[in-house]
Amino acid sequence: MSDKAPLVRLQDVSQRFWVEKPWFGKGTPLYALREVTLEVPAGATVGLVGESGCGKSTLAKTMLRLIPSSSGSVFFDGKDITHHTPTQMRPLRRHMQMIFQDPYASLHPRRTLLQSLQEPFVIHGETQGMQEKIQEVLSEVGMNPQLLSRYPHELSGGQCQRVSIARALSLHPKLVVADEPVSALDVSIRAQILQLLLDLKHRYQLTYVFVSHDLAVIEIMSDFVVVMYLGQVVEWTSGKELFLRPLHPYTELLLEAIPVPVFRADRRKQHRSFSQEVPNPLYPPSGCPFHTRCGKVTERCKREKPLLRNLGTPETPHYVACHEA
Amino acid sequence: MSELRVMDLHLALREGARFHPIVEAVDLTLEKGKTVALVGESGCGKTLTCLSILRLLDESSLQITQGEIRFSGLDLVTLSERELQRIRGNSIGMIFQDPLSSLNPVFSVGNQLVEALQNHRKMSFSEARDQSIAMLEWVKVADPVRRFREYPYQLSGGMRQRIMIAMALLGKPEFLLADEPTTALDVTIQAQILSLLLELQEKMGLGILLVTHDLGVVAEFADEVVVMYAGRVVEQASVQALFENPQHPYTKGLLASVPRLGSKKLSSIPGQVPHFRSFPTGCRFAPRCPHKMAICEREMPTLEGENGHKSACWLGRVPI
Repeated sequence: MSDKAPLVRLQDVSQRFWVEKPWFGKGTPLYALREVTLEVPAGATVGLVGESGCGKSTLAKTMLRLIPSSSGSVFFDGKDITHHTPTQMRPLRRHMQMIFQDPYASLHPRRTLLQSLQEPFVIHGETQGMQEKIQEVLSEVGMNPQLLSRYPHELSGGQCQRVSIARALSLHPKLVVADEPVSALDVSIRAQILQLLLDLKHRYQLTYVFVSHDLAVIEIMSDFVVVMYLGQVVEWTSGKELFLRPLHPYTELLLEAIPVPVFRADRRKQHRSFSQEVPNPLYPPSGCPFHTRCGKVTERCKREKPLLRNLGTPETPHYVACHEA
Repeated sequence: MSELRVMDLHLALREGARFHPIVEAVDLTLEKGKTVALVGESGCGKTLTCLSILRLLDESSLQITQGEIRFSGLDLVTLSERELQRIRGNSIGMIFQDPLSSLNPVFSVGNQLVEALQNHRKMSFSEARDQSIAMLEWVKVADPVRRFREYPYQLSGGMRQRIMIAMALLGKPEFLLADEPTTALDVTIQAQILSLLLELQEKMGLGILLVTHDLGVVAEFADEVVVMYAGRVVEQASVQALFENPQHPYTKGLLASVPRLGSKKLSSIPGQVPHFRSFPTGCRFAPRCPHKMAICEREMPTLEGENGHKSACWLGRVPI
């Protein structure tokens, strides 16, 4: 999707979990991801968006091989890492880091910040000059190094998230996967953290995979956006193009549902009710997975699953999985 | 006209022998058929204010130290537990943020609905069941007879919140306290739940207190807005006035911090919310305020204003 070589590439990756297991036998397969093909260009930010349960976090974890994929291939930095053993993965891990949603849960409650921040250096055997590097990365994220002897419970959510970011960046990784990094924070703090992530990205030429359910946040952060629904990619294009010309009815639904903090006199009338809930992923609908909630549904949608096709230009591709788009 | 009034409410948290004031001087009036939104960031006291209306606080550590909560000629602050129990669920219902932890996982939905009904009114099981199923239909639960037999884990988040709403409305209350009812839900489901609440409000004339941190939700659903910061009300206005002409620097900062589609601008309020153990003297927002003056650090501004639009800020009141 870009002139640059992709840092991460997923080829037809599926993720299948066995659930509702009986005493004997395998149970029912739940496809958290279905044949996802995706590229993350080096130096870009790819936003993953969708409702809860759409597979966006599973996709992020599969990309890092935190969970092995059921089928398909995962490439990182040109290497096929699909069948890497944990030992083989280990030297690669320093190049791929993750930031999680809950800042308190991602720091060890009984370790000081210093201890938590030392961890990556110790694991990767780079203890030389560690103290200075920790001081440096901590001031990079806008934290006072005097706080190093504190415990997570003594800090606010925003501060904890800064420490998580410092820890993720301390070994200068190539790829940072941020899974809803600001969802647990207050609005007034949220923008501070987003700005920090943007600044750090430019300074270190990082590649981000940014998972969020909030399209407004995705718009600010992302160069490319991937919209997911029930484990499938339904739309995939540049951030600019997506917000200018959303083509999938599901993307339109998501955009429409965001409450806007502006007073409108006709607000009550405008409110159309959003039909239906997300179907059970164990028993996904036939044909297009979105057809049960779609306003443009036809007979074909119920029968035939739409494939991703490019409706943009070869320079700015715009992939959509919809018969009617 | 029936109304629910919170007057000059003060709450204090006990730590050993010391009392820390955590909510101070909150006034708000709920009218039937109207929605008042209580907005603020975590720790600002909005949820505690909401819980204190039905006295659902842990009174061994959290106490109402001053103020009245007037409802149909009674002061809820002075009522006994027994008298309160007649009001809870009957005249004033409540729904919470996380519908899964509000439902008992080991009882069926129907069981819990029937229990709620039988607690309030003397009726047989079959009568209670029929009323519960009717209420499920009322909150637009598809296939209510089946849902009645199901357990919370079998339902989606949106469905669970509908069940909670049904349960809160079984006693036909006049007022509904909704503490972040859609925060745990996806935006699409949030829109469904909020439009359901709006529809029920029109049908039943419910007065709703909507506690939320989401200004988008406020703009779409509230009639009146109360903005809280660090335990105090900083601005109070009609929804139109608040969004078109916000007065308090905190409200302005908060509005600017919301990421909006179509604008890639990021703005935030520097610093962080003060801890209740170390509230600043004077205006509590002063340490983060771009317009801070000398008086702001000395004296707490009172909540003042005209035409129902009040704000607690020294700006414009004293010569600079």
